[in-house]
Amino acid sequence: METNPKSLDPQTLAKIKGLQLRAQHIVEGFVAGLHRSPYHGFSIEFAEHREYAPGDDLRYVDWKVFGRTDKYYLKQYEDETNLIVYLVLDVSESMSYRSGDSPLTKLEYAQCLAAAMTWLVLQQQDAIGLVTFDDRIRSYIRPSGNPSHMQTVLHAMDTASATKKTSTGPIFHELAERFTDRGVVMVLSDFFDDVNSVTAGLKHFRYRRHDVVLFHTLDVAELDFPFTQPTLFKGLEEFPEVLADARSLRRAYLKEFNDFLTNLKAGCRGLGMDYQEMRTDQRVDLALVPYLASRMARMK
Amino acid sequence: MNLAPLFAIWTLGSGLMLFWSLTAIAPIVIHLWSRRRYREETWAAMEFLLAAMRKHSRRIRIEQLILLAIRTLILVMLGLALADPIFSFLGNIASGVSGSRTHWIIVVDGSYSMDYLGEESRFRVAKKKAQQLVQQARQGDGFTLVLMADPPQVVISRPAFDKQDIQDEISGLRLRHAGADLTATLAEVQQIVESVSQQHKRLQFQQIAVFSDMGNSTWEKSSTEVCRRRLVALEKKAKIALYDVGHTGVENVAITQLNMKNTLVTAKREVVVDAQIRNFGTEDRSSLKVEFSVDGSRMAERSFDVKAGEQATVSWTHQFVEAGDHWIEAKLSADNLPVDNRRWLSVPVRESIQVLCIRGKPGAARHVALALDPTRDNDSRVKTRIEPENALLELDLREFDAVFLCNVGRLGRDEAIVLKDFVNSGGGLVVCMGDQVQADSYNDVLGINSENPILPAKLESVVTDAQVLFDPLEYAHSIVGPFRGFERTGLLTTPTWRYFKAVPSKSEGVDVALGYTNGDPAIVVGEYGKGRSILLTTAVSSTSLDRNTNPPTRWSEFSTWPSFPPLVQEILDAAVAGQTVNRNRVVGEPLQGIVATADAGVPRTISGPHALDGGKQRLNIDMVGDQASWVFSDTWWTGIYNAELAAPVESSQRFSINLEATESDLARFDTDLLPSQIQLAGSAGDSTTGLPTIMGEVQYFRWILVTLFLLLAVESFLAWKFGGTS
Repeated sequence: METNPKSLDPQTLAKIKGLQLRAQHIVEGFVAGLHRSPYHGFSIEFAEHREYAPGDDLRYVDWKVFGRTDKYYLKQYEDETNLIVYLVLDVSESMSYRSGDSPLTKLEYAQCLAAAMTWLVLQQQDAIGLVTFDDRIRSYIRPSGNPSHMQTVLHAMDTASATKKTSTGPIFHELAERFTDRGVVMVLSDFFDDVNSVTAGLKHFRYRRHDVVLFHTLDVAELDFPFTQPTLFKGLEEFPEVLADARSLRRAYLKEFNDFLTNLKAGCRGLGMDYQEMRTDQRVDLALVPYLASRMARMK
Repeated sequence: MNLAPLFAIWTLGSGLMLFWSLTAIAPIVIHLWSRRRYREETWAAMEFLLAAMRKHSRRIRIEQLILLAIRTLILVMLGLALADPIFSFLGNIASGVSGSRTHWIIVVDGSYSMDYLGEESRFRVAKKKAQQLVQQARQGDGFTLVLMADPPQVVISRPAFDKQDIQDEISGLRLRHAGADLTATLAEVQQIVESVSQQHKRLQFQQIAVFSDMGNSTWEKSSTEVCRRRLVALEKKAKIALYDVGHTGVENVAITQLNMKNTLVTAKREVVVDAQIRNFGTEDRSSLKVEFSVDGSRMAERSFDVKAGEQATVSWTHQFVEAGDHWIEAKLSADNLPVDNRRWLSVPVRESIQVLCIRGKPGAARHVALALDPTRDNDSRVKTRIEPENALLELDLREFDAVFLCNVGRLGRDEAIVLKDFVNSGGGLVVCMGDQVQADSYNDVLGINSENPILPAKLESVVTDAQVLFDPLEYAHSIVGPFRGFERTGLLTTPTWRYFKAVPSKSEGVDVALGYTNGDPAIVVGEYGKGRSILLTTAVSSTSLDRNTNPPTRWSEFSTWPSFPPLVQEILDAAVAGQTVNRNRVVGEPLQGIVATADAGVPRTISGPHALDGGKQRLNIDMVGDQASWVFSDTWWTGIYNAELAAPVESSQRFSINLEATESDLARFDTDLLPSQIQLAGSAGDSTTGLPTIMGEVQYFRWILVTLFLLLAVESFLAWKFGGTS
């Protein structure tokens, strides 16, 4: 699989204004390297007829079947979507962080990734929906496979601003209730919340038989803590300011952070969820392509 | 608890450098300053940061304090190392004596090889090093100063404490043109050490610092028993450190001798001047030039070659036109040791040599006078005057250069005193035997045990049954040396039948110049004062007869033999040699002069190379009996010294002072052979430091530096270990 690395480089993406252009740029660079679409890996079982449920459009009732069986079935059209992807994008204040070494904020990086995913899903004629959240759900766009849906999703992502504190667990519970159709739930977040709360929410998705993929979006500074001077850390999401000798604190910080990562990964593994770490200084495809390839292999 | 003694044992080589320790507050200041000066970072992962701070703040604070302490200590160590701390013996604490100090005995090699020029002379380098030592010493240290010369010169004999004064004294040291006597210097140093240890209790430590070029001629004596004994004694009370300011692989050519074949020079006669030049180096030298000057005027130049380790003789013939005091200088082309490139010769030139011949009986001195002045014309080199015995007391002998006593029967005490004064003041006395001589009279008034011992041998009885010839004794003496290879002159065939048996004195300066074939001495030469006394044991006239035989037997055919005239001339030259020897001395030998009693009150001065400003020094006249004389001892520098008698007399005498050429051999002493009591502290190639360590003290700056580097390594490791570096 060959890609156009330059198009997928965060440095390059940062120079492009507008999420749509960025998405187009990513996809062009990404698709140029595809020999075989990884999408087929997303296909799940589907039926030609579906039993009628209250509220369904009566226009789609197959009256011939009703005549033979005296039961109501809805007609399944050939162009109907067979996959629903729920993009769950964290737009809390912590996602607005960008260190000096990163060209994009975590949110911008996640937005690029989500936009590219939207484009790919719609190209596959599958449906995709979007949820943005911080301490509550900020926007909810129902899944749709209409190509014009792309604009709606991108617009919703583009207008999302990071201002509030995260509250991941309750949000995930709420979303699990709202995502009635089975699908793939892709969560793009830094998951800076209580790990137990996060995993409890994710567990709810699994309970609803969704496939769950965590795109853990992190800044390189959060992983490496490269500071050497005394630093006044100004906390996002209502955390207080802290003056600390960064050089002395580094080892302790890294231990805490790595414990967090370990616990989160362990939680994902326990629930049978996919976990993918995304560093904001990394090319978008470097994490995405191996993940898609491994998923395709699993579905065969 | 009194901690004063504890601090008293610490001293600093460079106290000002301790101010660098103040930089130790820098890490503390930086630490405090950094708390006020920080960068700001908006941060998302705050909960992890806060958790880390909550759990590890105590550990982090301790780690920071440890690092701060180490960084502060590093700078303190740096300041201490620069300050060069010195730690004295703990003995101070035990004895309760605080503030004990060191007595430095500075010994500077004053041998003339120290005048060797590198970029600057060795002597100057030694003085600079000595001054640095004084500068770096602690306040309260005492200093004495010795110039290691021959003899040694104690410049400061009791400890001086003003550093500036000491440095001025060192700066004022003047190199003498002599060698160095290590043994005598150690004796002086030993005396100083003993004296200081008794009289200056506060100067508890004694350190001898010797600055020398390690010349072999000086240091080869270090292995002698006397030297070793002194070093062992010194080691008990002082530590000896040697600072080597010499060079290896040096070349040197020197004039080692400048002399004339004629001892007493007369005007209008040619004299041959010989300059002996030695190559002390390891390379053959060719086309070297030696320049001859007379009275300061350049007269001739000669070119010569000399092989490594060998000697060459360059001769030059000159004729003095006028009588008077003249001087000759030979000068070599320049090299790195200029002091031995010049040599001088004082030449008193006479119109003629005046000889008084005293005859014991008629005809006794006739042959001698004829041999000395064969032509008897006005231009004769030697003028003789024959007088009877009583003339000794009637004439003023100072008018004569030599006196020949020919067969004088006996001498009175007054005559003996006159003769003794004559010889002591530089005159030549030749005592010739004969048939009238009464040996007892001579032994009584001139013999070894008499009041005027100027006879070089004791006279015994006349040997009557002899028939002997002369034995030249291998021509070793200067009197018979010219006869070597000229056997036809008849020296060896001169028959002698009668002579006085003589027993030569064992005093220093007495030598047998000519013997008889039976082993008895024929001519005995002795040096007395500035003059010479020569005894001829047989007769110098055919008038001496042994009348106990029939017919009477002649004492000798000596006076009628062909060898007689040249032998008498040589005897005369030997007899008057004292007059010129006194004019040409080596460094350190005193100059002496006789003054006419009438002129004793006339001021007399001397000028020469001893006076750097060219000034004149007044000479004191000493009266001994009725004889006035002067002595000048400050002859440590080579050159021409001019002794002048002021108006109305207005006369002058020139003297030359030359080197003993032993120090011209610049061979170095192997420092591996130095006695164990002497520690080699440094060499000329070293930097300004490298001065000897004080006895009983340890210089800690190296250990402090090692500690400093260890602390740097520990700081780096801990900084890494504490997670400070990414």
